[in-house]
Amino acid sequence: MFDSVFTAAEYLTDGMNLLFLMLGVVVGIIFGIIPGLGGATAIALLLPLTFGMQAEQAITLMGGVMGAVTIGGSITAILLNTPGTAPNAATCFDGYPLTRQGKAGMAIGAAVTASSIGGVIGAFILILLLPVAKNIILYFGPPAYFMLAVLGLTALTAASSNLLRGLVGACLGLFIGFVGYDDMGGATRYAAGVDYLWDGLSIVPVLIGLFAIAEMLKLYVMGGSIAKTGETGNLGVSGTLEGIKAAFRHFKVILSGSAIGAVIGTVPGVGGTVASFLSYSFTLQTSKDKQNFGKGDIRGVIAPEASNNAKDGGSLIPTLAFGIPGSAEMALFLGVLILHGMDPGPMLLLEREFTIFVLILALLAATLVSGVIVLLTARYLIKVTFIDSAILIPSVIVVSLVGAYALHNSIGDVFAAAFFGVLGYLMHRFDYPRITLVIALVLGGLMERNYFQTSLMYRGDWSKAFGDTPFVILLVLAVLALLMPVISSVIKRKTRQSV
Amino acid sequence: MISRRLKPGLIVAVLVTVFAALLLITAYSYQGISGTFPQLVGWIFLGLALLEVGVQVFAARGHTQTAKHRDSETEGVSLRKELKAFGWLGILLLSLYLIGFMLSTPLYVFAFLRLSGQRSLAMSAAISVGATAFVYIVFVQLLEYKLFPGILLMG
Repeated sequence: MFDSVFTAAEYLTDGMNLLFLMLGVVVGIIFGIIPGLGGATAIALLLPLTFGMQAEQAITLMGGVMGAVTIGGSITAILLNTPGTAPNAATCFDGYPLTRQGKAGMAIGAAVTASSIGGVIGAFILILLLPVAKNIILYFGPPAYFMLAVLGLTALTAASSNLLRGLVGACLGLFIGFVGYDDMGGATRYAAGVDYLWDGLSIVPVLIGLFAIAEMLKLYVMGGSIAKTGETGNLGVSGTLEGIKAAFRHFKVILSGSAIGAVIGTVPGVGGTVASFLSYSFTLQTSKDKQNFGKGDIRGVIAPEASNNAKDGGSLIPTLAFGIPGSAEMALFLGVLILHGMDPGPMLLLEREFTIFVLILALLAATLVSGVIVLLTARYLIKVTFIDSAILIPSVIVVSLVGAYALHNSIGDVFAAAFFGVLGYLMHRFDYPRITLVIALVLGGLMERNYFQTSLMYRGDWSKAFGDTPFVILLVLAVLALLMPVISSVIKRKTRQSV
Repeated sequence: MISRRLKPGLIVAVLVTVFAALLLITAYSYQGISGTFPQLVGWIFLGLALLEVGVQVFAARGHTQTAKHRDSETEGVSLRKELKAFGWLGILLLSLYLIGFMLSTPLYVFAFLRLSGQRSLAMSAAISVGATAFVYIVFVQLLEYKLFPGILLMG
């Protein structure tokens, strides 16, 4: 394992790879800062640029984005009371009051330090847990792989805003995955006589459509969430050193926040927002002096920021080890892996150790580098949020469509991206989660393959699968995941009644 | 009022159900193992879609909180603006198909900024040139992609 770590470190320090990392970091910070865009859109837009790259270079670029995006998001949360990404929302509680007290620099210093240390802790937890995950995978056969894909779908669906519509979205995603020639049965499915569909839908135009184009349509219709108010001229960001010192003074808060982030990150679908709010409330509950929380307590900035970067390490565990993406960002990241010939799922961990360590180290480096960049340039970076949405929309749509075309030089991919852009917008509009569709699309192949292998193994008698322990454990977890919204609403009702 | 606003949700649910039924029927046209898994997923899809129709009908009667949720969600969304958004996308697709990327990019960005963004002539021109330069430098020069020239300009 350590050989792979050193080789990966050496790889990342190579001039060209370092350049990709820096590009990822800069894009990540900018997309993190602009409210409403975030990591998923950044990855969707950068996907086409990776076509000609080696797999590890593409992963370095994406690692740069993922490591930087939450740090970027904290800047607007602190200075404009507008979280750049959803997990930064908890930072607003105390970050913005600090800005109003003229301590924006201190808040940024503390946020960036906590976020960077959180990212490092998350990455180390990932490195420590990967060998454990590897050993678990060796016990998995086709029934367990099938149930793993089912668990991935149900866990994310249960965590989505609407369980029923999440499941509908997942079924739709599976059907999109069926389109094209079926290797196992030899039939061409759901192609409707359209030549373009015979090879199936490529994941890249689907992702570009669902995330980049749909977001721009949303921005056009809703008027966008790009900051429209606030004065950048009066934002003093001096005092960052004091913020860094404050972060180290409250190192316990960083440690607890990072631990919460890393643990929550491993649960598919729960994500950074829950982690940062949980970390904030944990710090609030365990603090002796609580009176300043919400009014500008530096611990209220440190706690959520430490957790929302540490969760990246945690959420990579189910993504890399089991092929279950924990968030939209991770689902898109799996799209990058597929594009570069890597099958998401357990074999990835066993066969591509070097690639995985490149990703972990890229994430680690990105958190540190983006922290430094943000500390030095915060007052200038904030101006990015004032980019006119009228400029952003046509530019992003054009670049997205060029990117969709570039993969196969196919104009069909351009139409597919536009179609999924409209579909993505409509899904958002009618509250059908897009994430479950994407995950079903990503996991569909694994699911169908293992469904058949299991059917063949047991000659169609699925009751025999209950003799397979990993299958049973995963089945119980999948059922629990589906029941979770019901259980939590019952608990809430009982709590309300007892009050 | 509430039931009027709930209609789009119900319409969507019905459309999804019809779509699920079509997918399921199609799944039975595939021979052997090609049809097995789509059939299984199809039945689940149809069941879920019907359940959603039920939820929508129930919500339309004001029995669940979904109504309130739906209300707040659809508030402020104008159908006209949505159609305009899709229209702009459609125009871009048509133009890409006819005259390709390198001509469509400046024309589309310029037209969007002038007509939808109400930006000045100089600003619209500058940004459209910038966007085209970005596409050309990154995709054509650096990544060496051959962009679609459009069916009208194909040699």
